[in-house]
Amino acid sequence: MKEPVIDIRNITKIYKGIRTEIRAVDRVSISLGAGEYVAVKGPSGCGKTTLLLVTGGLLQPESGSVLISGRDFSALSPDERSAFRSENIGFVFQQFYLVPYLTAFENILCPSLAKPSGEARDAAMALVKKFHLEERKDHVPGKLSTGEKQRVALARALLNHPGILLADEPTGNLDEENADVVLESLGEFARSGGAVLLVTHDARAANTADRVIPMREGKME
Amino acid sequence: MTLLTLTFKEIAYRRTGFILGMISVIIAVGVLVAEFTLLGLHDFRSEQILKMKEQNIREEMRSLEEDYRKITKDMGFNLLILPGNQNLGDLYAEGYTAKTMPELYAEKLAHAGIESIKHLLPCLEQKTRWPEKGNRVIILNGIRGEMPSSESRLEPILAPVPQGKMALGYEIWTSLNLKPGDRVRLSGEDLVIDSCLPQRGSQDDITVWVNLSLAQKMLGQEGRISAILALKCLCEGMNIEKIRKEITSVLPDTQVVEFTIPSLARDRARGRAKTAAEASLAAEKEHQSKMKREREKFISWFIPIMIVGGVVWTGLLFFANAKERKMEIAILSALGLQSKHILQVFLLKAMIMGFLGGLIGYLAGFMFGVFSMHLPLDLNMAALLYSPGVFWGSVVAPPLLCMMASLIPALLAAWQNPAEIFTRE
Repeated sequence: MKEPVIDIRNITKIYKGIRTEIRAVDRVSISLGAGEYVAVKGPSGCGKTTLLLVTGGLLQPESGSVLISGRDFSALSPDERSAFRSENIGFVFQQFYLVPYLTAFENILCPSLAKPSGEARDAAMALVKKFHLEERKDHVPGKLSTGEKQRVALARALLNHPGILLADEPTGNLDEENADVVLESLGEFARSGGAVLLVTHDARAANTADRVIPMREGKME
Repeated sequence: MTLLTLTFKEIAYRRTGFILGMISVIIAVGVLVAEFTLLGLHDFRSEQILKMKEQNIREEMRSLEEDYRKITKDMGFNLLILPGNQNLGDLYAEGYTAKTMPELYAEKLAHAGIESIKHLLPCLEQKTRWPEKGNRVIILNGIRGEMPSSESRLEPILAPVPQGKMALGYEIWTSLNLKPGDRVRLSGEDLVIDSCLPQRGSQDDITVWVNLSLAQKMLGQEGRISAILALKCLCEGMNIEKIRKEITSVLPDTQVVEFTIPSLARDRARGRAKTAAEASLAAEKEHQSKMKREREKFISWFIPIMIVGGVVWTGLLFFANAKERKMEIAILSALGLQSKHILQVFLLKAMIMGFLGGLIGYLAGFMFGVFSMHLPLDLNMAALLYSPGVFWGSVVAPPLLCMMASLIPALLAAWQNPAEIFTRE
């Protein structure tokens, strides 16, 4: 059996308040291999975004571990996780999170700031064409439609040819047509050998995945 | 794309904060450079003023010398013709001539036909005692008035003391409580006081003047004199050596000394003028130094205040900027930028702010400093006032200080957890 690309083992993440404690993720384990497209489906507040952030190394779990391509991601320092992330992981968020003063083309190029490369501009141009953004590439996010913004976010996530895509409600703010474009791109990524972990509350989006894992109150159902 | 491009784009996007920060740098650097420029101008001006003053003093001294030369040219030389065997050191030490020469010498000189000699006054002068007045020491000076000269048609310069009369120096008549008209006895001779002289501050104050023949009799020096005064001697080119030669050719066993009063007065006048000029120059230098010290004192406390104020203000602006950019920093972290990249983003911006602010501040301060003195700005003046230290200080220190001010906000931004930002959103 091939080694999983993403191996989440018994992750628990607790948010500690002044008087309260919230178990956002409670002993969750998931494995994804290369070419797998997995959706974690659950209502708002069930802990799916937290699970995604832990998987991407942006949050540290209280217990458990996250192995990315066999490497204990959670044991790395923040800068090591950043460096690893820039080469191996692409993020797509519901709110797009584009840099407001950079053009669409420059936003796509952002991951190259961490890992400068002579091929980055060519790769970005190829993504612009792939996502039909030629006419809009020199516009700032304020001048783009929601669908265009999400396509820019997707292109940005793919610039460094990562092996993993983590998507948090990528279709949450999109109309059907644009949502289909995004979901089709995720499927295409998986088909080309990448691993996709999608978290969503939308059943339609979840059903495009190869496997759907329900989640409720921090636990896998 | 590079971090520098990202920085420039962000500056253009959030230019208000950047401009505010840059203005604070411009003001701080501008004021300091203006002060340093004004100090430089002050030094330049001081030098000019002092040079001008020195030039004026030199001209005044030259003018004084010229005037004095003209005055003394009219006055002529005053000469003392002394016995050849009179030791001049003794003369200066004692204040009177102890040696004597024949009275005939005066007549011989008067009829020698020397053009430059106008007035001749023979005298016999010796230190002695006044037995009738407590044996006090006096200088007895016998004079006979001016020798009639074959060459001189001028008025006599000094009248003789009439026979039977005496003139008293200040100290004598005041201490003895005498007055004109009083009858006194001097070495057995009865005399009437003819005049009481005002204070002169010299040996004249203890001198008693009597007729020459009486003095010769009192001192046992009949037919002898101790000196011949030759007053207002004039000659072409004011050549005292020429006159000296003329006199000693007639009277070979005499010596000629310039009577020191005019030369002394000239030297004293010159000395006083020089002292006054030096005092004026010193006062001007002190005044300029004082002004410079005050300026330097102002700068010495102003610099730290400006630096601290500037750093604090810049730090606050960067705190605000970091807060504004929380989401943007979180995105960049999520995309793989490490803390060093985030730090660079802020420090680059601070460096640009400091450099541009410093450069503009330098130019503004320099121009202000020059124009405030209403000086025409030309290349020579600019070259004179340009200080490499001030220039490089203005473009190097502000970027460093701005980077220092932005360090804490930059570190906080670099260490922030992007997930916390995302989950909050």
